[in-house]
Amino acid sequence: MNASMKERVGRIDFTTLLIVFFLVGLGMLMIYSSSIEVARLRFNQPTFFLTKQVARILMAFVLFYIAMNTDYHWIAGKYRTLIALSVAVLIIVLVSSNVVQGSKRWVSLFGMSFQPSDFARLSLIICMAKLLSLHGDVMNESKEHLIMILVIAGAVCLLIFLQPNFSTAASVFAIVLVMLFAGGLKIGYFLGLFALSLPAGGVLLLAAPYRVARVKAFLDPTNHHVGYQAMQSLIALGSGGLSGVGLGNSSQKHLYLPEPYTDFVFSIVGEEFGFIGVCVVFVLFALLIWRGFSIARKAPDRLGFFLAVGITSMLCIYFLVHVGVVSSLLPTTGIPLPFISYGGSNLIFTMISVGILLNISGQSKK
Amino acid sequence: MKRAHAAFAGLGRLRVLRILFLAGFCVVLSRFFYVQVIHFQHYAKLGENQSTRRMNLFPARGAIVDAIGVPLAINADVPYEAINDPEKPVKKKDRDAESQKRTERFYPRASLAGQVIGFVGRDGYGLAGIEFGFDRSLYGQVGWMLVRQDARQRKLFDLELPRKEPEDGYTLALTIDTRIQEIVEECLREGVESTGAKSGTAIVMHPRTGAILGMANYPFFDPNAWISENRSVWANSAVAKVYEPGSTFKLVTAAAAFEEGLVAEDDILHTGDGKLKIFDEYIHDTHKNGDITFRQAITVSSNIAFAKVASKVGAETLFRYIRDFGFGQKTGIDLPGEENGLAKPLSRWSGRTLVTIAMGHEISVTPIQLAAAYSAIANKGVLVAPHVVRFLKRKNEVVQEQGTNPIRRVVSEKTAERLTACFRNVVENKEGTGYEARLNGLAIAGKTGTAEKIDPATGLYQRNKIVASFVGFFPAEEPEVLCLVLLDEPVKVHSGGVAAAPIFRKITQRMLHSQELDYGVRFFAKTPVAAGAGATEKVRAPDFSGLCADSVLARAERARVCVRISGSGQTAASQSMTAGDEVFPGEIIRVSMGGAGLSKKVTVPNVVGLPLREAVGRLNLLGISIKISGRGAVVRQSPAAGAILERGSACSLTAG
Repeated sequence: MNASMKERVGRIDFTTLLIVFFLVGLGMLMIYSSSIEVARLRFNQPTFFLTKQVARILMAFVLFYIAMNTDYHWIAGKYRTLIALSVAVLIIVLVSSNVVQGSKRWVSLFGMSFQPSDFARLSLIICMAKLLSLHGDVMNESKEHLIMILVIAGAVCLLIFLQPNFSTAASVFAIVLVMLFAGGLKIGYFLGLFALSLPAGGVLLLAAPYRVARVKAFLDPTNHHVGYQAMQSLIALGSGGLSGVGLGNSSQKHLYLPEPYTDFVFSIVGEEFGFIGVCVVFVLFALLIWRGFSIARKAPDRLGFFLAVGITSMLCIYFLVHVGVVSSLLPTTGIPLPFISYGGSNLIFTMISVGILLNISGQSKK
Repeated sequence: MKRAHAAFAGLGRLRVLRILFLAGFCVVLSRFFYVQVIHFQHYAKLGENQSTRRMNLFPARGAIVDAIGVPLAINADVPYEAINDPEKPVKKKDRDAESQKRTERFYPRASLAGQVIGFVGRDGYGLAGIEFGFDRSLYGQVGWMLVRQDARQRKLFDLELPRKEPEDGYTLALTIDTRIQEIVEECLREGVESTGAKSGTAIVMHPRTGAILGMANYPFFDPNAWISENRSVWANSAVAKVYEPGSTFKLVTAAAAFEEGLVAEDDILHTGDGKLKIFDEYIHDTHKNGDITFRQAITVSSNIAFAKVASKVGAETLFRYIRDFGFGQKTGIDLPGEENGLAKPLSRWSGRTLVTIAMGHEISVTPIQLAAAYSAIANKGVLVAPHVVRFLKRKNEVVQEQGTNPIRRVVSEKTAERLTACFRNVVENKEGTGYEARLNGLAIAGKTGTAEKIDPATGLYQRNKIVASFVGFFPAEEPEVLCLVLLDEPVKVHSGGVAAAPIFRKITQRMLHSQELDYGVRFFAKTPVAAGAGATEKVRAPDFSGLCADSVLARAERARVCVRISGSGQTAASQSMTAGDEVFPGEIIRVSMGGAGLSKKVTVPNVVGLPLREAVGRLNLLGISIKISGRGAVVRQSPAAGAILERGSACSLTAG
C-alpha cells in the first residue's frame, strides 16, 4: 500500500459512491413496494422481505467498506485461492444442494441462502484481471496463456451452466469476452471464439426444453402460457406509461408478476414511476458505468484497469440483460438488477465489486 | 509488476466498449419508450382487463303489502353462517364481502293469499302469482361495480372505480285486505272441510272498482315452502279454474231477456211437472213448480222456465250477451295464469245448446269471470275489469296506480236494478235457493249454482259430482261487496244453496262484525230491514254476558247492532251499553272478553325439527328475534319450548 488512507479516501470516486447509495436506497423502496402483497399473503407480514433485505444490505455495506479499504493488489494476489474455492463451491452445489425451482443454484451459508455463481463471477473477474495483467501482452503470441484463461473461464461458465443457469453462464461469459477484448485480444481470435461459442451456445440453449419454450415464447409473446411473465411485465410497463401509477399503486405486484421483487423488479419501477422513472434509473446506471470505465482508464496499473473493466462490464451486462428481459427484448430469464433486486449474495458480491472499484479509484493517477 | 500504462492498447478499446455499452443502453431505452410511451395503451388495456372485474350489485326485491300496508312478502337476510356448510369448501366468489349474507324471500303471513302472491325461485326471479306477473317491477335494476382484483381474483378495495348503484324493486300494494282475506280463508276452510269438498275458491271484490279484496283457494299454499308443497295447490283457481257454472249463469239469460224486453218479471211461465223433453232428453226442475212468474223462476232456479225464456231470447242474442258479460275471454285481471274459459262459437252450437247454455252448461267459465259478470249487475250494468294490484311505489312515491278499468256497458241501469231485485228475492224469499245466505238487516242479492260435473271418461254428467257455488253482493241498493264462493265436489251436501251459500253468509257476517272493518256500521245504519222497521227506529241492546265470541256476533246480528270485541278471554265480560238500553240499529257496542288484555309476553313454541326458514317465520310472527347457527333443520333451540319471553327478546337456534 503506497498511499495513506487519507489520500486514498480523498481520491475515491464520490459520484460512484453516491449513485450506489442512491440505487441501494431505491432498491429498498422497490423491494418493499413490490413485495408487500406477496409478503402479506405468504407470511402475513408486509415487511417480511424488506426486513430480510435490510439485514443483507447492512452486511453488504460492511463488506463494501472492507473491500474499499483493502488494496486490490492484495485481493488479486489471492486469485488462485479464490478461483479454486469458486470451482469447489460450484461443484459442491452441483452434487449436494437442494433443488430450488428446478435448479441447484443455492447453498446455505451461515443461515443465509448463498448463490455460488455470484462468488464465482467475482472470483473469475479477479482471476482474469490478474492473468491478463500478467500475460495480456503475450496473449496474442503465446497461445498457452490464452488457452489457460479460456479453460478457467470456460470451466466456471460450464459449472454455472450445469446448475442449470444458462443466462448467468452466458452473462459471465460475456464479461470474459469484454475483458479479453479490453486486454487487446486480436479481432481474428474473437471471430474464432464467436465461431466456436455461438453454435455451442445455441446447442446448449436448445438442450433444455424449458429454455426452448422460453425462446419460443419470446418469439411469440401472445402465446399466453409460456409468455406469461413477459406479457405481465409489458403490461406493468404499459400501465405505468409516461409518468407511472405512483409509488405503491402497482397492480401487477398483486400476484400477476410472480416474485416481482427479484427478476422483474424493474417492471414495477416502470409501472410505478413510468418512463420518466425508467430514464432516471438508466441515467444513473449509465453514469455509474461511465465512471467505472473512467476509473479503469485512470487505474494506476493494468491489474486495476482489468479489474475495473471487468467489474464495470459486469454491472453493465447484468443491467442490460435485466431490463432487456423486462422489456421483452430478451427471452425471460432470471438475472437480478444490480443493487435493486431482492437477494443476498448478489447484492453482497456486487457491493464488494463496487468496493474494489472504489479502491482502484482511490489509487488512481491524478 | 507495475508497467507503463500510457501506450496500452486497452485504453483505445475502452472507448469502443463505452460506445458499445452506450449503444446498448440506447437500444433498450428506445424499447422502453415504445412500450411505455407509444404503445402503452395496448398493454394498459390488457392490464385493466385482467385486474378489474365487473361485479353485479343486486337490488333488494320490492315488498308486497296488502291494501292497508301489511307486509305479505318481504326479504329476510339469512346470515352467512346459516348458509355456509362447513363441510363444503368456500367457493371463490363467496370470499367477497358482498356475499357474506344472503337474502331470501319470506312470506310472513305464510299461506295467506298464497296463490295470489306466488313465489320466487332460488335465482331470485318470481315464478308464480304476483311475484311472477310483476317480477320486473319487484326485481328492480341490477347495478354493477368495478373491483380491482389480484391474479387469484381476490378483491382489492379501491373506492375510486366507477360503479352503478342497483335500483331496488318497487313496493307493490295489493287491493287485497288481509283483514278480509283472513275471514275469507277461515270461512272457506271451514266450509270445504265441513262439506267434504275437494277444494274451494272464494273471491271478494268491490264491484264498482273491480278491486279484489280477498281471493282464496283451499287447500292453501304456503309460498315459504313452495318446493315441498304439492304442485296442484300452486295454481290460483280463482282465475285458472275452468268449470261449468250451472245456475249462476242464468244471470246472462235473464239479463238478455230483460234488456231485450222479451220476458218481464211477472210473465207467467209454464214449468208443468218439472220435466221437459228437448231433443230426446229431459231437463228437470228440483220441484214441480207449475205456472210461475219469471221472478219466481229465478228464485227457485227453474231450469224449465229458463229453457223457455232462452228460446224466446234466441241463440244470437244470448251469445252476444255471453260475450258482452266477458265469458270466453280473459277478464284482464292483473294476475298470471288466467284462463279464457270456453264459450263455444255459434257455429258449433247444436240444437240443444241454446237451452243448455241458458242454464249454465255447455259453457265453461272461471270464478273471476263470474264474479266480474255479477259485479256488472251490482255496478248498474257496467262491466269492470277486476284487479288485485293497487299501486307500485318507489320509496314514498307512487309510480303506477291501478284505477277502475270499465270495459263496457252490458245492460242498462234499469235492467241491472230489475235483476238485482230478482236476485235479492233469491236470498230473502223462503222459497229461494239462496235463503241460506240471508242476513238480518242487510239486503243481499245473489244466485246459487249447482252444476253436475262431466265425467271425462264417459262424457256424461255425474249426479254425485257437482260444483256448488254462490255469488252475491250487498248492500243490494248500493253494492260495496261482491262475494263468490265455489266448492268443488262437496260430498255431504249437494247444492250451491246448501253448500256454498252458508259460507257466503259466514264471510259476510264476519266482515260486518269485524272489529277492524267498518262495513257493519255503514250497512246496518243505511239498510231498512224487516217490514215496517224504519232506519231511525230504536232497538234494544242485547245482553252478551257469558257468551263466546261467535254467539256475541250472532246475537248482535239478530239485534241489528254492531259489536267490537276486544280482550283475549273466552267469554264476554262486559259491554259498553247495558243490556236493554235503547240503541240505534248499527250502533257499536264494545264487548270486552274476560281474561287479561293482550299480553306483552309470548310463549316460545317448539320449533325443533322444523326447517330453519319455517322456524324463523314462526318466531318472527311472535316478535321474537333469532340467532342462527348451522343450516338445515333446527336441532336445538334456546330457550326451550314453553318458556315465557318478552316480545322482542332473542331465541337462538342451532340447525344441523
